[in-house]
Amino acid sequence: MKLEHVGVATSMILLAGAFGAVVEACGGGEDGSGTTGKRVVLRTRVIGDAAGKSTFTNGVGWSVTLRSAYLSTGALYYFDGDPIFSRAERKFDRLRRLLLPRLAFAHPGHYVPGNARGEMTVASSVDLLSAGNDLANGNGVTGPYRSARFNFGAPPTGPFASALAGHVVQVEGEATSGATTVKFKAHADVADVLDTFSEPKLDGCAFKPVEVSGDGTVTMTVLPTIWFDQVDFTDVKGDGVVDLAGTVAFNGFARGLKKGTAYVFAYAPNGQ
Amino acid sequence: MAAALDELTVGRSSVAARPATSDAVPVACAATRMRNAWARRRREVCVVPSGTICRARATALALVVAGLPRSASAAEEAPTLHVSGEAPSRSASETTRERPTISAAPHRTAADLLLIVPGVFITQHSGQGKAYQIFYRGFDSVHGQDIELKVGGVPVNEVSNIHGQGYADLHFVMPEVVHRIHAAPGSYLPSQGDFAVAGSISLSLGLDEPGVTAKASMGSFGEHRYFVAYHPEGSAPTTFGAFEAQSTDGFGPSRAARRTSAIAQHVFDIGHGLELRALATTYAARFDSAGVLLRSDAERDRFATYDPRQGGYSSRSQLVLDLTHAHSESDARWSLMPYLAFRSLKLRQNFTGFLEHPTDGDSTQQINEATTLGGIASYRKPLHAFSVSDAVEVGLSLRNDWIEQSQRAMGAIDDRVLATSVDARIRATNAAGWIDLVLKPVRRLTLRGGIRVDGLAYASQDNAPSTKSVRTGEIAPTGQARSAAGQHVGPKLTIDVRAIGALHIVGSYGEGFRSPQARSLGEGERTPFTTVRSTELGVRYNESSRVQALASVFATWLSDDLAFDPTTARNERVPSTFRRGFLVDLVLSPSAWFVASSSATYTRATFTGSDAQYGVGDVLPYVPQLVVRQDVAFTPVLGRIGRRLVRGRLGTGMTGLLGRPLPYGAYGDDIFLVDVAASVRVGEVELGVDVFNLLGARWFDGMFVYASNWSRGAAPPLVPREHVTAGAPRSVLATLSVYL
Repeated sequence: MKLEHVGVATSMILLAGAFGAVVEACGGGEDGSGTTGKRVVLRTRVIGDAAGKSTFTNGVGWSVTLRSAYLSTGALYYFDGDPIFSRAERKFDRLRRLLLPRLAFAHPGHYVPGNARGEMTVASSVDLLSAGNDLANGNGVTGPYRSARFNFGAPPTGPFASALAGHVVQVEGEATSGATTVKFKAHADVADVLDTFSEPKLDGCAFKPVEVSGDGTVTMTVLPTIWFDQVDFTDVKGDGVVDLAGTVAFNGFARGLKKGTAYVFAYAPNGQ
Repeated sequence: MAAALDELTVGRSSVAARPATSDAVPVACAATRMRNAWARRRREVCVVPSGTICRARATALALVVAGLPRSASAAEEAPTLHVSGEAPSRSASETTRERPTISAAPHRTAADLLLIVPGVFITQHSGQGKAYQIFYRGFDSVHGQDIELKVGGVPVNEVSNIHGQGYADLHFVMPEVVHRIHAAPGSYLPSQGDFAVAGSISLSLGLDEPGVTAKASMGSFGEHRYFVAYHPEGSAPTTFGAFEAQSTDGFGPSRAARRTSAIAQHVFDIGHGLELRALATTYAARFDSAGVLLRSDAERDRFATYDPRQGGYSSRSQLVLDLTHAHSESDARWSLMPYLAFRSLKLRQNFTGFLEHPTDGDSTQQINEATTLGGIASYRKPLHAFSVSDAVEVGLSLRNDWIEQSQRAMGAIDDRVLATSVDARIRATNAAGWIDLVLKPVRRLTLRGGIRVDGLAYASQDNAPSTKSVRTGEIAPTGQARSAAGQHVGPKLTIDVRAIGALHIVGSYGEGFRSPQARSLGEGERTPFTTVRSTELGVRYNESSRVQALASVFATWLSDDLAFDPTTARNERVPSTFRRGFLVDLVLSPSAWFVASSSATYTRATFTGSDAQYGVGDVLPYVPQLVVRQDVAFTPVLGRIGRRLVRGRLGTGMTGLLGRPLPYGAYGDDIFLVDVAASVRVGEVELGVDVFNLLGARWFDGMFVYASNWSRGAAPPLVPREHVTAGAPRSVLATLSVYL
């Protein structure tokens, strides 16, 4: 091989390197360093809402005070789809409402979860009257978080599994309406909280709309006030602490457990 | 004359019994006798009866014609020999790998040979029988979606295959019979058609070894291979027959595979410039597949499997007739190549565990049966507008595919058919025409270009029951018959300036398209082509066959793109993208016993459009950024034992992959693999050893990010996770070859 061949080859490699540098310089300005998004670690907390920790008045006029409230939690999932019946206000929504006919929904549903953005899949149990309950860390990816799925944990596990005694929800309290006071306890089993797919889950729960961009904490706030909102204790009879099982009041309680609005999710970045 | 001589100094050519491609320029050479020896010689000048200089450029492989009589009387008695040469390059980075480079490193399959093409990286994520996943210059071509593959001139890509658009299974070709690999990146040739998004790769078939070749191989993991071939003495390498049977237990559970294949090709000289090439192949394979593993599980046991029932069956049978006519006086030529192919593919796979079906599992069965009838025709004639090199070519391509395909959900435990999601019949038609001009207006400048028009039409009917996806909520209609059609017009232009000696500066621009899956089209929809615009600028240096070097910078724009979606676990349409990069390639062959080929290709693929999922400037996932490859072979004559020559062979192939972006800002593992082959041949007997993955690298050949659930009944993780398929460990294959 002639020396000039080596020279030409070397020159070409150098030339190519220069080409590459030019290309990078021309196009590199607007490029990110990697693919879209990143993975995040999501601490998980479950708390009962403040109203549920004191006496509250439900939708049928009973004042309810909870003495204990335990919930068995399963997997939590966070999605970028809008929750059922609600979605974040978008650009020009107001103008759109003014100019265009509005959609009417004849029946519940229409929930499209979209992409799963985060999750916490470790089952546990929580005391809703405590200051707060830390669950296992979850994981997720950056992006919009708009709705969530809550799974009841069955069978119960975690620190309050014995208090739940095999049930997914266990509450005890007192309801007062006028001169009538009913001391009650209620529990729900997995069969009481099944959805239309026969799964113990609630789809389309509200996640306070947020653009997650880093590690943080997802807090699920449980609202026992919603659980008891339509519970009428009028027909609950008996001495001492009465078990609501088999009563009309229990039906209202079970319906309340399956309301997506009773479980609200929010995200806060680390440091807040 | 000057122009003709100029052609002699560029590119490479080979001597064959007939023109191998539509770009080939036939030349009749005269010789009274010819030894059946094909060897490397430099600057062979063919003497033709008319006394003109061969326009085929003889540089790389040339006929050794010993004792050629130079007298006119001897020439009159001579048999006619046709020399085929390649057309000049349409881009700076167009490459051709000849047999010495192809056979430098060990290769198990013809698909494996694609690794030697600059910028190509391949993975085999579902068993030895499923088509490779091919990455090429910034494109994740999946199983062939973005790369036009041809073998013996015939398209291999399958239209609207149930497993993936453009599915191209090359297992039917044995590596020994691949004579040449020609890679044309981009879309700069008018003859490039459907699937030529990243480019085209064409494998020419031929066998050098005269007589009978018989090989028996035995190796690691219970591998056995038997290869028998013949190549009649005195005929061109393009006439041969070959048979292969291979089996392996695999390097882990659920990796056994068996295949058998036969190829016969004969070139008939009909006379009066007419030649007929007949090619027949048949192939079948049954293979198991271990499938994917979660990255976290693979760290503990790389070769495990979640679902041992995965695998498949693949077969291909085809018949090709290629009739060409070369007019010895006018230098015009025409060709007509009809082909008929029957393909069958059955796959059983489970990529998501129990995510969709928590009780029965997500195992799916895909079946694709296709019959393809097509043809390629061209007519080329000289123009003599500015020089003797000027020419015009008109080409036609026609193809009809009849496809029946289905996809069914299968019970992971009891193999029950749980649901049918696809049960479709498809008719796909692709008719294309092109015109291609070569003009040399001034001495150092050559313009090549033309225009190609493709018309594609699809009719489909899916009789699957209406189903709703649990995850995506999509509803597939039942029994609806749909049809769609569209056209694409693609201009091409190449400017070639000969700078100094054998150094050329080449600039190219071309527009191509990406065709859609037939079942994705709506009734009456204009076939929504993805527009592909490619351009590149570079330099080529070709000093005979001793030094070939090129360097180029390239860019490709796509109006929209496809990327593996971590949520749906399949390729989905994504916003427009831009790829840019550069390529360096160097082939050295300073002597007959040494060849070295090295290439490095860097590509950066980013989004230029945005949607809810991707932003402008984000890197396109899965596309390898830097691919390097080196093939080196020493083939010295070691001496003699008695009257028998003793030849040695030591070859290596090194592949490196750096920078494999994954979703969510992650990067996959880099890969560096070394394969080595060594053999000694004494006369008719050769003993060789191939070692694959010599360094024993623990590598993952496939990396995917999506949601899956491998714990039956457990809370399914829905956030996409990293999945991998294990790369093959070190393995050894010993081969005894006999040449008779």
